[in-house]
Amino acid sequence: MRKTNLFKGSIHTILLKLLESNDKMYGYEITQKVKEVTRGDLKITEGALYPALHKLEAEGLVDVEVQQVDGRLRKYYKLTEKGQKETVSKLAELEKYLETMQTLLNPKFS
Amino acid sequence: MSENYKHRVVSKQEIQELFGFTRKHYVAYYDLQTELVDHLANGIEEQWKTNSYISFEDALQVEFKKFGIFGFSDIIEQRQKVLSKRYYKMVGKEMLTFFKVPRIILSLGSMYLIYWLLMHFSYGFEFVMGVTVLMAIIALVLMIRNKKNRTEKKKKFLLEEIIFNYGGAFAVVHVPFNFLNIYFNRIDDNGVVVFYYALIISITLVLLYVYGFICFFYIPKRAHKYLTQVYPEYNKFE
Repeated sequence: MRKTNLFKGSIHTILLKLLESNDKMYGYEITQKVKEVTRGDLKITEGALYPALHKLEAEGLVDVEVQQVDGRLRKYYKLTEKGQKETVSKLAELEKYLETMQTLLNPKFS
Repeated sequence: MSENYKHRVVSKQEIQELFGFTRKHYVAYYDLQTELVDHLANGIEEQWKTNSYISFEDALQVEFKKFGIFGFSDIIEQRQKVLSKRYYKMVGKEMLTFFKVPRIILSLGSMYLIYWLLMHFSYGFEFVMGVTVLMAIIALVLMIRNKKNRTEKKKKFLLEEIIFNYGGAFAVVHVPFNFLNIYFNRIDDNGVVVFYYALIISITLVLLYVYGFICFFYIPKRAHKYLTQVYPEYNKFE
């Protein structure tokens, strides 16, 4: 089964949640973190990651910071205040969705 | 392996090769290049941690494949979309700021003046159009002069390109010429434009003048402020 499809719609929520738990992150670090947390079950592809990050940046949900690391520039993303609020509502939305799915998959017949 | 063992890292020369690689794959803008170069370099170094014998070129190909069959094109396209949207938001915000006192009075005054000229003078339309053409010529001259004065930079930033191409604002120049159609069809026996068309023309023209002013003068003059907001690294490359 292509597991990634299930997560396609949730990429923004995943990114916001990751940035909420970590002060600031850069693109490659995010891909590795997702792999590590899900033990390789979920991979955020590079082709999906950057457009999603850039969209969050344009919406003012994340802010960027650039640092020189190992002779190259590294772009870090961190949540803005607006982004923090959005994370709370996005997570609530996702939880509600998961709950609904749970009910659908395990209906309790009385 | 001793704890002090250091894995191979991407060298300065290889970083330059990575920049060349992104350029070869149609990433024209420096802002996107730096992000992709760092990503590729991280991936290559990660591979060297488990296999120090893999060559730089082979490791790069492995990393590039992870971007899928379309390579960087989706990322470039999305970035362009996002930054164009950001530019138009910027223009919209500046236009709203523009229409505050006292400039709103000036704008309403100009609208009334155009309306009055169209309604009361036989050659009002020609006069208004003449002024508009003159403004378009001034904008064009400024555009050409600005282009000449801006030295070709090695490092191009996408938003900078959008700002100094005026977000394609020159394309709206044709709008007033659509009024010619109105002019030939909607004038009364005295040669003046009927009132509702005069109203539409006066409102549209003033909005266009303000739009032109924002795109051709206001935003390019404050480009540095906008660019450092979007690109924290921008200051280093001026």
